[in-house]
Amino acid sequence: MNPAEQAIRQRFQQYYLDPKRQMDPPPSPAEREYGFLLFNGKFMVRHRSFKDPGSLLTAVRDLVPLHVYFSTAYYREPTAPMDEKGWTGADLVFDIDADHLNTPCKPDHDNWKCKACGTIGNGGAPKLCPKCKNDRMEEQTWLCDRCLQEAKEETAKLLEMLYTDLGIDHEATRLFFSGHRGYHVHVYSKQTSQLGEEERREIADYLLAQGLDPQLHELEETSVGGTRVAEGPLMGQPGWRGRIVAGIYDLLGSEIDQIGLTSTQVSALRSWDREDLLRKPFWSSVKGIGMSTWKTLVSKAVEKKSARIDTVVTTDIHRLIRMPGTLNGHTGLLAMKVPEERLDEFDPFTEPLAFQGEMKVKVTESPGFRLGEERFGPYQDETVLLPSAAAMLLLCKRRAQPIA
Amino acid sequence: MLTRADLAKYPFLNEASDYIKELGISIDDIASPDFSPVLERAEKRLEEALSKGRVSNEFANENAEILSFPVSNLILSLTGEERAQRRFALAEAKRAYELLRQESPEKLDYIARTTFGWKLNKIDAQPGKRFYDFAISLADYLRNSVHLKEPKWKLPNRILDHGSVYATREELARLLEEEVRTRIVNRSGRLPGEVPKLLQPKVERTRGLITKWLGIPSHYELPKVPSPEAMPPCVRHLIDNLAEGKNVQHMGRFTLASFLVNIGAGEEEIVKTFKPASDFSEKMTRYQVEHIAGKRGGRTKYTCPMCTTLKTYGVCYKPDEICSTIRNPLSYYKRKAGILTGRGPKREPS
Repeated sequence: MNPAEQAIRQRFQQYYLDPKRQMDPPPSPAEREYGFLLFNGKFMVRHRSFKDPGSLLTAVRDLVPLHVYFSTAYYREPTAPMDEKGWTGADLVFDIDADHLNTPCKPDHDNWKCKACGTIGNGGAPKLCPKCKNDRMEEQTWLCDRCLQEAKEETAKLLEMLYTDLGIDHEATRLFFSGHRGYHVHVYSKQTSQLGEEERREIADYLLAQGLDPQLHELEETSVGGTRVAEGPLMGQPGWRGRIVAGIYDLLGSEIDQIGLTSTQVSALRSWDREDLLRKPFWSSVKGIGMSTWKTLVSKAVEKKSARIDTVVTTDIHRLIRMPGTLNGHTGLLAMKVPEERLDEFDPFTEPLAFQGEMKVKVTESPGFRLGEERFGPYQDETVLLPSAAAMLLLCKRRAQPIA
Repeated sequence: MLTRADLAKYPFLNEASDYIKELGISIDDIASPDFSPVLERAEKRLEEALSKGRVSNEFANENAEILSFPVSNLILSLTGEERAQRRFALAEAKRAYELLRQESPEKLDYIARTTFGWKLNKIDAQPGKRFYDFAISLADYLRNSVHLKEPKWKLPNRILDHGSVYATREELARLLEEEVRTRIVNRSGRLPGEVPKLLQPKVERTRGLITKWLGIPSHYELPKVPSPEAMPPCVRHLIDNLAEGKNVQHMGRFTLASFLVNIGAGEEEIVKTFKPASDFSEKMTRYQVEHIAGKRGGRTKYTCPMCTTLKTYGVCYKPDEICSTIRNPLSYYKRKAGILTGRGPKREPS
């Protein structure tokens, strides 16, 4: 363990040893597998199970893990090897993470390095190194207001679709801040626990509108008395149909000039009263806007209205997922429950702070950031005395070293 | 709700089994002369399913129609031929579909609800041009629609409203076809304690039919020696890329390794395939291949990713005609190898 890890572990231990701590495990805790990523050599302890929150807390206090996970799956024997566990079901889970969002601030705070040829760049890592085409990248990410705000908006869209379209019960849904760059939504319900991977992929595709064909939602050109007339879904229709129209409505009110339409098309749409969308068939009522323009608008509307979830997390029915109420080793922030009605006002830079006091650290390099009401940095090779939460964030992000 | 004629149409229903119980007929009655129309029809069902992949409707003798279905199933189970059981299930399911699509919404609703335990509502909705009779619970919809490849079955292309998927009468019948097929497959293979001797010749005859229509009843599984000609375009492309020293991404490597493991390639051979990679490490490759083969870690032997996944990751490459009939590269291999060796199914088992 290096000095930074030692310092992190020490503070994590203090945090967990506080007599006030309690674990709030998910429903049916004894049917799940738990996993701990330890400091020492980043070794994952898996296949553990706990009968009650108390014994789980004891284990966390003993091991002081960097990350704590539980399985979304339920097993007859959670401690058995993988193929003998006896899968009996799994929560339906969603992960929204800035990693999957294209925020414009990424070049300011994220960077990457190709593990093969050493090429470096700013922003999110590309899939392939532009120079040597390798796919193994080292990424340094940061968490910022803008990214987390966007993650929050994606989460709100996700929840809306879960309730209105998928008919998921509010009572069965829990929302969590991940302690890093996003939000998790867990659905604990018998109605969804038996879904297999392929079925979950369909759900993920639905939320992302992956493979959505507007024609199958009746966007088409028909001939009325010899003239070609565009027809399509209407506002208020259930599912993606109404949502497509709502998306176009939003686009008309905002970035309509930024989606690659010609200026003539833009002004035709601008001079048209978008409130017409709320009335009956409108597809053929805008002069100069034909089917191909509508198709562009529909695809942009769908993009705007879809929720950018991480498909892999939703489709994996054996997933280990972060345990709320534990510290995220990437940041030292608390992964925590967010009451849904408070999502709007929830501040991921204030509420999940877990450490008191001050710490002195030597920062190598860091973008500016905010915690609570205070702004910090940017820093470059300097020694600073910081509130512990800020110092821990820099330590966890490997941007700083502790000063004894 | 259901008449005897309905049971003759849908002999897989719970009500049909109950009806047989009520008749007081058991498998021991098979030797009685009254039973000969049943046996005849049972054999005909099998022959039709195996030869044409379809089973006809015969309503002249309703009792024989009802009773022959479990007898066909029993004979087939006694052959122990799973591929024939799957074909029979499909043929019976298609027969059911042709009949179901002509039923009233009320009857469809009843069958879906009672035999298959679906949650659904009869609705009267016309949110656009099309008229919908049903709103099916999401779970029931997905369980059956994931097998259907047409884009119209993809969830983003459906109307999903508060946990229910809208469906027309015809679509409901199609989804029920899937449910019927699953039910028959799951039922086959179940054998009663004692099997009447009289059935033995029928079983032998059926074995003959299976050989005739489905090919040699040897284990038509993956060929032991990997044959490169039978590999799908994506896998060949991966091998070519590696051989040329081009970089292949993680998903591509995993696909290749899991594919090779599953077609029975030796560990040495697999490791050799990865050798030309620019970042080749023998130790690492061997470790990962062993992991995929289930010799390490979770002891799970990994199967090859599905085509949909490969499309998502951009591993899918120049899909050909066979690709449009399969969902996993391993099925491609199986099919192509069958064609190449002439041992494959004589016709598409679809």
